[in-house]
Amino acid sequence: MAIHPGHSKRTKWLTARRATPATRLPIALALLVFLVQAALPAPARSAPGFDEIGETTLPASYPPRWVWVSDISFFHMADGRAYLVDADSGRFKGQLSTGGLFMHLNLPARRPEIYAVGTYYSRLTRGERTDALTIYDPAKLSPIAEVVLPPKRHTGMPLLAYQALTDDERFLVVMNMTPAQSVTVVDLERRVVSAEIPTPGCAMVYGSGKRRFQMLCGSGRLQTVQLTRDGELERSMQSAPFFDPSRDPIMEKGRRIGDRWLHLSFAGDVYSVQLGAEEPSFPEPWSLLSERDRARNWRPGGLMPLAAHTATERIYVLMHQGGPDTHKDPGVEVWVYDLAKRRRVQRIPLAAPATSIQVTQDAAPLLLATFVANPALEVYEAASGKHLRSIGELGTTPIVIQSY
Amino acid sequence: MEKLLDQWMERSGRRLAQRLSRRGFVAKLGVLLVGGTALPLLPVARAAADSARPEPDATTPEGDPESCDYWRHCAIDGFACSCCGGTQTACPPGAELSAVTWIGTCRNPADDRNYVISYNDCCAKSPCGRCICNRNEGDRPMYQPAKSNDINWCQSASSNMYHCTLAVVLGEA
Repeated sequence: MAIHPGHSKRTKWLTARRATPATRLPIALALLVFLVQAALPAPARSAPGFDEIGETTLPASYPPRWVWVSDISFFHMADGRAYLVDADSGRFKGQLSTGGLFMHLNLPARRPEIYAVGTYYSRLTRGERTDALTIYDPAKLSPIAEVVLPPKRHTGMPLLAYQALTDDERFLVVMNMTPAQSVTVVDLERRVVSAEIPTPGCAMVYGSGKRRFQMLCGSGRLQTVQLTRDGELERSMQSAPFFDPSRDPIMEKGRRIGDRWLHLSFAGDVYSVQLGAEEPSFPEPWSLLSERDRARNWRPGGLMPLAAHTATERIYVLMHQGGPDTHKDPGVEVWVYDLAKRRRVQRIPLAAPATSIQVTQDAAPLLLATFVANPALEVYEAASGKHLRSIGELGTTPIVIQSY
Repeated sequence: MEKLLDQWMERSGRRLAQRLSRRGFVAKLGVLLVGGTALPLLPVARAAADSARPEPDATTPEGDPESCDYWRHCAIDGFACSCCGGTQTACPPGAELSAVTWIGTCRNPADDRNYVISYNDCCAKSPCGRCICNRNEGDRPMYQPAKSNDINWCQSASSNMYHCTLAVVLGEA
């Protein structure tokens, strides 16, 4: 046991009446270490007028123009991040490290928490896989708890439907693909996995009521899943087909506005899913495009091409000119629609091509845009379309923009 | 890396121009894709065979496996393995082949025929980061997984960390 010689030597030091030259040096070093440690500038010890060292904290709930920009880090995907930016001042407020194959955050309205799901390997890119939901403190941007998930979460090109909160914010539903499709339900109060529910033929998750969520199915149907109070499967129902995936598929990049989900089709039709009743209903789809627009090949596209401003019931759509199969091409304009009138009310030419857009939810919203290949957030005044600022150096591949 | 991203933009623009001038072809492809549902599209391991067939002139982008415009790359979304130490049919050294994948359909300009392409991912390493390509001919949303290039197809490898993508000819469409 190596500790014994050291231990006996130390005992000898303590009992020796006079230090030998050989032991004076270690004693002097120990004394020096003690003095240096005592002199360290701990905040409580700094003299008036001198610097204090510390950590920044944020408010537990943020102003409406603080936004999250999520970065899968496409060139080094074990290292996902989310950047918190004040779009008003252009200031970078902080960052979360969100793990491997990071898709997007979930931001509850009623809990001072932030959720991110990541995949972690014991040797970074290989070894034992752990999928985990990490719960972060919004004031400190540090983890406060985690829930380990079955290692089967679905990952891919980021968009806002890999996980969803139920409307009561009690459960987080995580989409799985192995390639068998299922969901993992996390009880956020008890911080445990409450169920895994098979969902063959259906993908992505969209919150759609108290303890309820929806999925889009390859058959063109909508699947609605109702959970019990304990977060287990109560019942699951499928609608009749409400779109034709072979004729004109809807993107899985829908946005919710109040009690409606809106989904854009590749060709520019708006499909609505009306919530609230026991079973969802499907108002008649309408087109974003006039004959003239269509003749000029305008269509929606990008990675996050649809945003909604709830108070004014306006939707913002990223548009480009292109033919079939251009559904992920960057947009050059944002077209704004009055949802009640189903009419375009504004065209905003962008200062730079964009693949994602978002709007803040305050009374005079900002329009936000990123281009996946340029790590910057472009900020526009939505009402005028005026480009206000560009906030640069945001990682490498910013895709999902989220506001409160 | 910035240069790579610039190239991606440039390629994206050039492809767009090409697409616009090939609307007739795109329409034909659409018909083919609808018909294609009758094909055996299950995402299973069929990456072994890639027998000899005419390839376009290797000095042109459509014949160059290191180009995003390579004919087999008509629906690739990611890093082309040919630029990462592998080929269009073989993973780079040490990268692990994932057998589960999705399938696209591309026209070979050398014989003007359409072929079924399997876009298997090579995995268990950090992304290669070279020849980033995003082409979406026939790509469909993730609720139709067998036709979607947005999915991380490393699902059947020992690690889901995505490295690059192959473009293997499975057969004539």
